[in-house]
Amino acid sequence: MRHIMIFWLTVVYILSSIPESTTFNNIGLLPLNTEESLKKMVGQLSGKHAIVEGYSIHNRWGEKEKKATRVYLKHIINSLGLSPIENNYKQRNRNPAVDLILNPYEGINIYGVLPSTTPSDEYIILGAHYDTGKHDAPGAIDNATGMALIYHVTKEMFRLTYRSKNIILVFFDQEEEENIGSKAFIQLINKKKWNIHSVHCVDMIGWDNDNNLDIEVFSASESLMDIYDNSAAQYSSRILKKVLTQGTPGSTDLYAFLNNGYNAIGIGECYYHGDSSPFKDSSLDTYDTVDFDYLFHATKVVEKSISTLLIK
Amino acid sequence: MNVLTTLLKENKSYFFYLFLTFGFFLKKGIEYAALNSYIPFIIIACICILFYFCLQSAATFNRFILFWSILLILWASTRILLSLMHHFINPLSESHVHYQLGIDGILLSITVWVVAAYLWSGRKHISRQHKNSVAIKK
Repeated sequence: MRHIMIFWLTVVYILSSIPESTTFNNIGLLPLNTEESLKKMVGQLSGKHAIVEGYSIHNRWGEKEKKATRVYLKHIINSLGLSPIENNYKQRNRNPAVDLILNPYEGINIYGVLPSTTPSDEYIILGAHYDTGKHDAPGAIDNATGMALIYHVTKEMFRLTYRSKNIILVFFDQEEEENIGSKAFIQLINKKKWNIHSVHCVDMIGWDNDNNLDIEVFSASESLMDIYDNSAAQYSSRILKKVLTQGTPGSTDLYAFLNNGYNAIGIGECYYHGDSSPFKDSSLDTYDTVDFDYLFHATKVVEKSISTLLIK
Repeated sequence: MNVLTTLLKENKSYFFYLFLTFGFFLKKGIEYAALNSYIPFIIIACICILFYFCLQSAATFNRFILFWSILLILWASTRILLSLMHHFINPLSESHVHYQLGIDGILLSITVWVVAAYLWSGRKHISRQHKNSVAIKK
């Protein structure tokens, strides 16, 4: 009995050593300069920089690290003057036989709503996943870059004096586990009866080996593709298009929205066009491999596209 | 039902563990039913109904406990096997599976295995009492 008690006390001690949200109260603000801010945020989400003194997020796979990531994401949503909201969910396993053996998927999406400046029931979703694919993957490109991009786009939209639509900034959990987080978020959309104008999912946007600033977009919607095309042209770069159809299987959050009939677009580095990080889901997906000029450029293109949609 | 009451009174701990296993899987079934996956609930509901009907005689009760113990042992053994494979042969990349097959997952599986073995070993004793109770009642 004594041994059992010692064992349990050890387990409890290890679990209690996970920093609680209160210990993260002193997370600093990001720099005002967008380029510096992108670097800092990617660095903090991939273990290059500590989020508070003595604590760095080295991956976003384990429960402890995902918990710390959520605290960080809530903090940055808060810093925009928005209320961070947790979307706790449970999802059944893909195979009913697995349901008999294992518990359901459980996760937490984090989101905030930037309201329109004029009355509107339309919502634009800016989404990126926050989990990583392996326990030893820092996930700098996959997908700290995507999170940093959508956060900075929302920050710029916040500064606009006119916004015809509401914006939902959402960080999805469990993209690496069959897009469970985005599927759960679609259930929330249905429950809240949000009228979704369009969904913009950003996944892996920090690699540009040939330095041509090309951005890849994939969607079923020509209208969204045209908006991105025009925005990129203003920044002297190209949009490489890949048209997807509903029902296409895949492993990014975009597919969950496309398969449910949303007007959705995916934005990323040139994954289908052969210029993408070779370090995906590995310990080498580090801050040092991120092309920040490219990330900054892509942020500007997405920012321009979203602001175009907000003026319409 | 008087037979069951007598048995319950005389074998509190045995029936406590038996009902605990029902409760554990019933909770799981309800949880999944809420997620529109009804198979776990249907299975455990059928087992509970079967248990009710198997109380009619000592022989059927004995057979039911045998059947239920085997199911529990299979459930626990599958999980333990998956845990061992995950930790020593082919690690699964899914985070939620990793945590379910971790130390606490293994402890849960071992606990179910031990309870199943306890139910298995005690079934003959309970059946004998069941037979006696019915005989006295007659």
